[in-house]
Amino acid sequence: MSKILGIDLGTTNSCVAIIEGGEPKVLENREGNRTTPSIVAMSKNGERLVGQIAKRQAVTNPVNTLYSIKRLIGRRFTDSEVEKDVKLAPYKIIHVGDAIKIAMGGKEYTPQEISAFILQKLKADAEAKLGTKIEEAVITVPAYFNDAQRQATKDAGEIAGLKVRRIINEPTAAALAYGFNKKKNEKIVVYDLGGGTFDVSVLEVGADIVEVKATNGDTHLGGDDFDQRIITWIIDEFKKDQGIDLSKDQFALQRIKESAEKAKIELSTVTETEINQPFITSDAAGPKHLNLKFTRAKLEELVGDLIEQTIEPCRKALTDAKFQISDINEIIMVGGQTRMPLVLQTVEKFFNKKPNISVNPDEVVAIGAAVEAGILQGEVKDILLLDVTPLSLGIETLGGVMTRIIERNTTVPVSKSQVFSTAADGQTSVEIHILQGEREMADGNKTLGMFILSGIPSAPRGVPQVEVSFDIDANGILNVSAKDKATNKEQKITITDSTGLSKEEIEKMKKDAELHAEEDKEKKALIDLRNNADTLIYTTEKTLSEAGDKLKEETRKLIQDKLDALKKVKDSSNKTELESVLADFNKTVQQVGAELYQAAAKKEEPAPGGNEAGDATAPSGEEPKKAEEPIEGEIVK
Amino acid sequence: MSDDMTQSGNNQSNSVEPQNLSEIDTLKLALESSKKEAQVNLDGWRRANADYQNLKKDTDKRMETMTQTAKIFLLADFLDVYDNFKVACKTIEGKNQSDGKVDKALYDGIIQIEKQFEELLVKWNVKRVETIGQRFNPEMHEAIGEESSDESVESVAEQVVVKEFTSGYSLNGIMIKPAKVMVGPSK
Repeated sequence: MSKILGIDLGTTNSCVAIIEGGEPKVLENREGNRTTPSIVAMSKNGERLVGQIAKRQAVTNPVNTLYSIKRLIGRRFTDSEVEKDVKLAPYKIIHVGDAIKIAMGGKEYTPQEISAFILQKLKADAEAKLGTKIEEAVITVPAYFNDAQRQATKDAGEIAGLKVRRIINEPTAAALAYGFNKKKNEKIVVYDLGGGTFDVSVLEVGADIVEVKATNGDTHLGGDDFDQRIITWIIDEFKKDQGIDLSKDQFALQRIKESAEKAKIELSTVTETEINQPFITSDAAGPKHLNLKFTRAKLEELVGDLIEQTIEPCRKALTDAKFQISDINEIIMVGGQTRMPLVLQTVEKFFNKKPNISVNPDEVVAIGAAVEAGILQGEVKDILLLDVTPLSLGIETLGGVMTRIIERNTTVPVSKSQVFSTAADGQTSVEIHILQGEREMADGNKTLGMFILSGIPSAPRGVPQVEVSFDIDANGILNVSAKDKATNKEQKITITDSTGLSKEEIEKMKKDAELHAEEDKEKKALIDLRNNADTLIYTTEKTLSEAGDKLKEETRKLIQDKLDALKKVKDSSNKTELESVLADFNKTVQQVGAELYQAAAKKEEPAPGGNEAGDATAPSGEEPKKAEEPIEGEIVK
Repeated sequence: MSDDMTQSGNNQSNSVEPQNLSEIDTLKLALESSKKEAQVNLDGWRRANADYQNLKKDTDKRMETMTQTAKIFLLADFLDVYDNFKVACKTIEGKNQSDGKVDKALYDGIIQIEKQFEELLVKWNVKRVETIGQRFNPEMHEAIGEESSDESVESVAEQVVVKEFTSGYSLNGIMIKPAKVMVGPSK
């Protein structure tokens, strides 16, 4: 079954997405970018260029570099919008009867043909990425596009070799990306502030239909205008400060443009940034540097009026739709510029509701197109829908810690095992305490069950191998087993209600874990340290008793002293003290190892001990409580 | 799914269908249906396994690409800063040559750092893009400006790079960032 591509064919930038494994996914282009500039050019060498590459030669070839063709597609030459563009655009727009053609490289093309070049590149890059041919697509258009514009967009797709299964409205696509098409009788506003245009749409969703009730906007208002304000300010400040007009210097101007956009984006997450461009220019006196402090407050001062300009279209759209502000259930943000805090605040203030921006506003329309493509493809079959386990599952290990065996959100059915060992010499049984939850400490989680595996042959700690397996079947039934690999003795338990918690309880447990994350991490770190110390004490004492006679007298005394010091500090809650004593002890222990190896080199006796003496890091603290758990072994799949 | 075939006693229809299906026939039909179901399940399982294996292969390939891409994005950021540093070096060198008033120790140290950077580029197999004199190629050059020529713009057959503002770099044949250049007619 071939895939249908979801395409957001934008005025300034285009984006492509596809359904993979039931989820929409944006596809990077050949250059590795998630969006592609909607620019086509005929280079002076006669080569047709599309995307970022076309942008790179724009300055030297403005007449043959075509951008914002979306403003012209499906329109007649006499449209007022076209008149505006004829004046502004550096490329030549001509009319053939009432239809529009654009000159490029000595030939004339319809806007559909130009858009087709862009679609061709998007198609080719997607095919290269997926390793398969793409023949069909869903393409998005502004809600205010008339039939002629929609048909022209469809034609562009056909020219590019794509069967256009559906043309859908951009605000509708945005709603699909959020799954709002599943809502009943809701009123949604889509606020789309892109690079060069502003569109606001009012939608009504109900009974599988998304209806566009009204649209409004400003076709020449976008992020680029915001950038221009900043650029002008930078040039003015530099002129004031250094007396040089940077707008005359092409390279300096380009650096300023890039800095302006970068600073604008940074100020969405911090309140202050620096515009830092060393060696921006030079004069007789020497090099000059651009170094300006730029605050969010200043940015808001520079562009505040532009944001205010977007409110009137919102008001008009609501009036046309015959809705009150209070009728609106959801607001969706589209376009990178909507990330700006002042934009979000202004929208929230006007609608008295927090806008949705959780889906990447640069990609949300493409994602919605992919969702529609998925619906047309009929991707998901009900029987094969799989569940996930909502909370992590594991067992209690040494120190009262929870060791996870199955992570939350793992798709079921699933089977996972880990090998554990004993904590004490001669331990002949292990207690398997089954836990569910996200807390680091066992007592913070829910107990699902408990059982004991006994009859383990007596052995030094860390030697026995007990394989603990967790298996969840498609019905959510959890089977836990523990098997001693030496004797093949096995115990198991079946827990039927592993997802017995309600949705609210699950959410609460997750939130609890987040709240206590730092505290839990600290506790666990301390316990891990203690476990390390324990192991080290045990193995060192063992080494001393078995091979102590091979050591020099001073070394033995030194080790014993350090051992005593460690034992004293081991149970304290002072993490830093324990860490430093442990580090010190490790160093000393390595001395022992070195000495023993020297002695062994002479006598060819193997180094003794469960853990090699001199092992600087003890096994991770997964030793169980008194009668249980294992040291971490290999994870067996 | 197995059909619900009823025994004659429970048959509620008044049709002319045989109403007396023996137990064996019932079981035969149930078996047929179960066999079909088992086949569907086996196929589904095989397909899921195949999908899984293909996903593993796909993931491995993507990991490789992602690692390469991550390197490129990281290098691009660093090279932007390095470009500024090179301008500083050039300025110092120029000043040193013109009036020799640059502190020698400082000068030497800075030139040494520049050398370290160049060595790193070699180590990472990052190559510099050729610019001046080369035919303008938007795959590796970004035009910042154009030198005017005596001939009319349309008749210029070929554009070449006449000045380099900042260097362009590539990694294993993939562009990290294009060189920023001034373009002019070929002489």
